[in-house]
Amino acid sequence: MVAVDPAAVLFATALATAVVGLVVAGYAYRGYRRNDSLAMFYLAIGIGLIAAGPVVVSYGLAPLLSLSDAASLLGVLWVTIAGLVAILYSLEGT
Amino acid sequence: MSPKTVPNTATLPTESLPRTDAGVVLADGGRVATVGGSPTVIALVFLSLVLATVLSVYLAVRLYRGYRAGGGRGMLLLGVGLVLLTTVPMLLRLALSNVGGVETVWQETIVTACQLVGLVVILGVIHGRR
Repeated sequence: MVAVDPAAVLFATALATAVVGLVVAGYAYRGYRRNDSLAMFYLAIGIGLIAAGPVVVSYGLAPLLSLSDAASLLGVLWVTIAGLVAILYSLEGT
Repeated sequence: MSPKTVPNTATLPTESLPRTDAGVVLADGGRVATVGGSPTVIALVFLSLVLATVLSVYLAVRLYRGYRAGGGRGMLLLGVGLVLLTTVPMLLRLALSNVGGVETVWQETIVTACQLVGLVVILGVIHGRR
């Protein structure tokens, strides 16, 4: 049996999530451009942040700024919170 | 008693000491994060985890209410996708980090895979409407 590197599995899953997330965000952004719908704009921002943000933090900012595991996790949680606020705003505020 | 018999722990090489797990036991007694960092950062991580979970559960409730108020199958599936993208991963993060026995890397993989499923459901709804 071939040994699976957990870190590689996580990276592949995270990368796929980021790519699909950006595709979905792209559709929402097109919806915003087509219908001038602010709700779709904030939905695009929210989905983009939640799906792609953690990958940017974990595999971009963390090694770049030599962040500790805790600081990296904090960054992931903050982009997630920003994304959640954006999605909630798209439902309630627009 | 000669002072020589007292072991001087200060001179012990710290590298030889058994390393304890870097898990952080927080106020709820659960191991929320197996991470190392300053107490301030750890406290911020815990607060952020709670805030993100509360927001994601509120989002799920909001989506469910919207559907109950008169939503079709598309809206239901869109809501399911968003819940799988946000609420379920946050609850999984909390649950998995507290049960123990699951390595951090696998915890993150399960969380990310759940988000991927949610996004695929949303993508399916978008394509179904075309």
